[in-house]
Amino acid sequence: MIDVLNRRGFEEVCILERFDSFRATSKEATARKYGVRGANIFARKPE
Amino acid sequence: MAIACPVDLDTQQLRSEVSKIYSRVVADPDGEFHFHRGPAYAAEFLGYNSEELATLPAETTAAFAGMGNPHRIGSIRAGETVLDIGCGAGMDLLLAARQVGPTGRAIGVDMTDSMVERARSSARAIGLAQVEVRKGDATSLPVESASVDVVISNSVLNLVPEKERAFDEIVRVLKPGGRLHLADILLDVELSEDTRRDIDLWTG
Repeated sequence: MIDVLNRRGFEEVCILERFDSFRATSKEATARKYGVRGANIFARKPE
Repeated sequence: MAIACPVDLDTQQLRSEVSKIYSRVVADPDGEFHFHRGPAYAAEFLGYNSEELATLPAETTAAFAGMGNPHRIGSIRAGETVLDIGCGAGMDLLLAARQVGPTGRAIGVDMTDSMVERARSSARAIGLAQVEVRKGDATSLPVESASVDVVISNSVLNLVPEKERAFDEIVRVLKPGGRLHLADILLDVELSEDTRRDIDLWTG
């Protein structure tokens, strides 16, 4: 997704925060296997 | 890390499965799902303000199923136009509507009828006239070009197979200099082609 944002010309693309969103769910093991976590991402469209 | 969509993935089936799952979340938020829902999860895992959530309709916060928190990414100013892509039952949309105030606009787009209706009724219930909810898809947004100051989205774009089209749409609707406050899931490892074809893994 970060690659797509960069390819689309967004500026200031950055991951600000990550979240262990699948902790204590039935898919926790799958999420850990693939490194799936929630994220807050900022990007700006160029002027 | 980008996830390329396999060319033979049945995107209509994927859309249908996603729509079914989130319709079920609206109808039965306390049912069995592979992801957390609700205001307690939002506050404990994602840093939402529980007192603020308590002022929103319970049927809206109960159906919240985001994986991040776009409201911690940056400020939204009074008078701005915000677009929430995949607004669901409307929790993030209503929070954004309060920030833009009566001089701003908060537009929600969702492809699931029950979510659209829930978001509309919740906005009406707390008197947020600046909220407008439209049925639509992330790859073809029913929104004017260059009309939006801030796009927010919470755990929707990871479910869209045509990500390049979805981001083209975000570029189209944002004003020059407009901001994207995106909460979603990211993967730390590259997925195999077989894994990417598995619709069960896309939808959980």
